[in-house]
Amino acid sequence: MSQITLLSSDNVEMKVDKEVAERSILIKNMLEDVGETPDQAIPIPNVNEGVLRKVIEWCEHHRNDPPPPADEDSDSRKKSTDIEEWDQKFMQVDQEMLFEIILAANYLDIKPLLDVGCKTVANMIKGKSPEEIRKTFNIQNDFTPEEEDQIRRENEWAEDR
Amino acid sequence: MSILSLPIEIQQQILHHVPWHSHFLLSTVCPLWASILQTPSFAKTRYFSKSNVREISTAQLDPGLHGLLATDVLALEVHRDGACNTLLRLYPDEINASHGISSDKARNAVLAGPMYSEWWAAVNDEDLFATITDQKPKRIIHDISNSPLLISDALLKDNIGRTQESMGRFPDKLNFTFSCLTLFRFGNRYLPAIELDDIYIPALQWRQEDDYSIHKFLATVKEKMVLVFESERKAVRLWVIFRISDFMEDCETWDVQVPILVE
Repeated sequence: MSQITLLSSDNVEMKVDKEVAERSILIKNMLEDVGETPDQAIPIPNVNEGVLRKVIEWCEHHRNDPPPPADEDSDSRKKSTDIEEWDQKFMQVDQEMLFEIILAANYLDIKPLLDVGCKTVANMIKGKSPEEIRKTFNIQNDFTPEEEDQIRRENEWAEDR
Repeated sequence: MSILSLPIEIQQQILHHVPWHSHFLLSTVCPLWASILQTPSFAKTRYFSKSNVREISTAQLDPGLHGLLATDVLALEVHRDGACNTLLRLYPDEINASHGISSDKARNAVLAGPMYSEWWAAVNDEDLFATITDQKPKRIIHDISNSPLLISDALLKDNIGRTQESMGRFPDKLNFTFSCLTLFRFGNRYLPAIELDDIYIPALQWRQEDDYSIHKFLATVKEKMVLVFESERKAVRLWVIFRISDFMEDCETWDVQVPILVE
């Protein structure tokens, strides 16, 4: 099986099966444009070694998954918060890594991984009070009365329907 | 890196995975989420289609009801001083259920949930309030009075008119408009049928000296009371909790008006 080399943002090279790397639509398109397996490492400038290794780990586990539905806005994909057991364990990382994985999945165009990441964060939100959510994600309560009024004025979309 | 530093489109994707009723809480977390949750793509998820409310089995309910009105999660807490809090009441099961199922299923779970089915089953139950208060699992109550979605959704505005003279006094007159659905439920639960003709008028008004049956009703329920409002021929349901037990004395006129716009 042919392999390609990925180069992380911190200049670490990683060999990976082409089939695994092509879980990334970005990389798949790049390889298709080149037309053959490149000899040189493919730079992934937005993803560091640690995150890239996690992403590759996920891609290797899901290498035989069927492609995601063509309808990118599928309601079922958007709304369901089901997460496979393996993915749940995979996502048991600190918040920094979780957000980095989400960003990498977004950059590399790996929608199923992006979905898993977003669902994981959504599940961290559910069932919590606003104050608990702020505490969980270290969000400052920076609402001011003026901002609240401003938001309400700017978003009274229902009146336009 | 924090969640707020993620690109907005990713934050939108995250919030899309959260059940509709949580939007009201999330909109008070930070201004950015409040803004995101007021966009049409999110607002529409808070409306229930006709298929989602068919369990109610009544022609009086129009399609496209807001989730707050189509389910039993909404309550108003009216205080003696006239202050009014908007509350979101969720069973722990409803919250947990939405972890593993789609939002659509979660919605239906709300409609078919224990509160809902028991409520309908209890229409003829003379001991209704004992049923409600004693046998139901504890609900988690969140105060969502400050959620901007209450205004942006243009569905509910607690508009309790108070004059300077009525400050601190509980009214002896309440103005409501009832729907046919209300008539059915209101009458079957709390009042002898013979009294309905006197009560059901388009703009219901009553006074302590005029209609003791209403006050008797209010006095009976004291802690909890359910009212249903109709607005612009759109039947909607609104759950109201009164926690005023001694309103009978020293009353003045006080209006409770809840204009509800349903698209």
